[in-house]
Amino acid sequence: MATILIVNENANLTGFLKFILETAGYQTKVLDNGLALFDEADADPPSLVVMDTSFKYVDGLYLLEKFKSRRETASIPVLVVASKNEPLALIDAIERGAYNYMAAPVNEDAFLSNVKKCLTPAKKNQPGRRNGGTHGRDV
Amino acid sequence: MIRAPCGTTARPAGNRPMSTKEAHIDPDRYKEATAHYLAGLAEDSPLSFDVIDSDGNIVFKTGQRIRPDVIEGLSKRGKRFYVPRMGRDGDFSRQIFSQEMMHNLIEDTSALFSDIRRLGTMTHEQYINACNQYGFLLQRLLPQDKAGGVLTLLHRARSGSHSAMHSVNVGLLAMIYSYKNGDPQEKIMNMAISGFLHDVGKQKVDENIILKPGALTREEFSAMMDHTKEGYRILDAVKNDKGDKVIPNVVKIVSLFHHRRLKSQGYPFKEGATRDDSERSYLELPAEARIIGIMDLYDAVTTNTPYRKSTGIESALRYILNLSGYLYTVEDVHSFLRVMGLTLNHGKSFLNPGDFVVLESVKVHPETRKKSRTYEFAKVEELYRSGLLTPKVTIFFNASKNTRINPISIDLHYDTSRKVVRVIHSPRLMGMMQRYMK
Repeated sequence: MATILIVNENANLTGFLKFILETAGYQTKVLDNGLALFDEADADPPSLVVMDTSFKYVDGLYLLEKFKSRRETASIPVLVVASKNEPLALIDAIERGAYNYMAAPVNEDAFLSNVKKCLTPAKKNQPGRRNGGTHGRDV
Repeated sequence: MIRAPCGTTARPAGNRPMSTKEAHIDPDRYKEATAHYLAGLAEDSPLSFDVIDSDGNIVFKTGQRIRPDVIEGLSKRGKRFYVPRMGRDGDFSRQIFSQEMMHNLIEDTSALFSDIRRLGTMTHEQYINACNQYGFLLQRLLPQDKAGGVLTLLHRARSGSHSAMHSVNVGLLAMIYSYKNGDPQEKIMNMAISGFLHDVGKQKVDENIILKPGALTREEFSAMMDHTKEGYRILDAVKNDKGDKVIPNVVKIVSLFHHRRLKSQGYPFKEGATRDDSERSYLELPAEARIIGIMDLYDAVTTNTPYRKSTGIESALRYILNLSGYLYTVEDVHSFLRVMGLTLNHGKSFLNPGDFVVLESVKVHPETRKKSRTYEFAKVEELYRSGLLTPKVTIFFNASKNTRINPISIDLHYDTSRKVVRVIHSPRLMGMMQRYMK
């Protein structure tokens, strides 16, 4: 069972995301303090982190960059769900390794399909026509 | 992402059939430059090196302005061009400072820093000495270095201890930035000295922490953060014979605040300050502290350190552009790149045609004075016509409204309300942009 860690200081948005995810059958954990992200992720690594970029005391993009550059947590996918829409944050978040960026108000279906894609293991090195692979032949 | 400068063909001499005509061109000193490469240099800016042809004749002299039509005409007649080889250190005919001068400067700085490390204080004499050294360097700058887009190269220090090298480099960057900006003498000297002494507090931090290859622990990092405060204390304690404090305030403030950042606080910060508070206080800092923060980062990412490998110049400049509006203000980043971009990057722009960029336009409401920012995605079409950060672009997406728009072509040289704030690197975002364009 996939555990999803929601890191967000906005209680309304957190409640909404939690409700959607639990209805879809995921287990969730909620953090209302960005600073606790690393301790929480180290103690019990989640399968996916759904985080905000704006916190009161800490910079969300910085957290994301650190999260993605630490060896322990680099493989955990991150989906950014921002409580306020900033086009620049979209660029910055994806460049820092987030899987995708969504801003509130969140479309339920789009959110769930993003979550599903994050949790599917990447098919990076599989041969296939689309990624210019070897078409199944051994080279 | 590091890209090879377009059109350069730096083939080793051995692979090329040597004709008798080319025999006297030394492949260690010269490399072939295609006409495309020469045309890519900023238009109408004076060269800082001689360009020779395959017969060894000088085609373009140092100081001559580049004209694309001339280059095109010559290349049609089958001419091949050679320019002096440039490594990362730059190896052109005219450099602002010679290797020897840099060597002496590094030696003196190393001695100064080891004295400060040993005694824990700085004397008035040492301060005057540093001022004299930079004053001497300042006299070596020529009026032509001031002109916009001059391709004279800055030779930065590459030897000696890391902290000496870094301090000298940031001092030079700050001095040349201020000089090219047309500041008065006193301000140039203040900038140079601020840059030179910005990390002086590191002499109080344990050397093992500074040179540690891996990540720092929490305690080590907090010791590292203290170097800003220590720097302020060292500089504040410098007194002349009469007991007066001699160092200008701005130098101390730069030393204290050069690690402050716009959105991601940086340090030192007040305990319990929210991000909004720290953003406001960052904007109240003197411009010197903010600009030297950028130069600090530039020199750090382009120099090899025990804990990080250096990046190329072009990618460093693109990296700094991508931090505008996040770690630094858009205005400061633009001013740094406009003044120093060509000088640092061998006269080439760090943007390439075909790059996707993000444009920002700020509107101030006439009554409430509230700023509203609009972001648009665009593709760079043409460069160099109008400067480093003002290419011709095609705007195709309004990111603030999240809607596609009919592509419009805009020359940013004339449309001053829009500014380039990001250039896209990640393949994921490039794919997204390409989908938006269709």
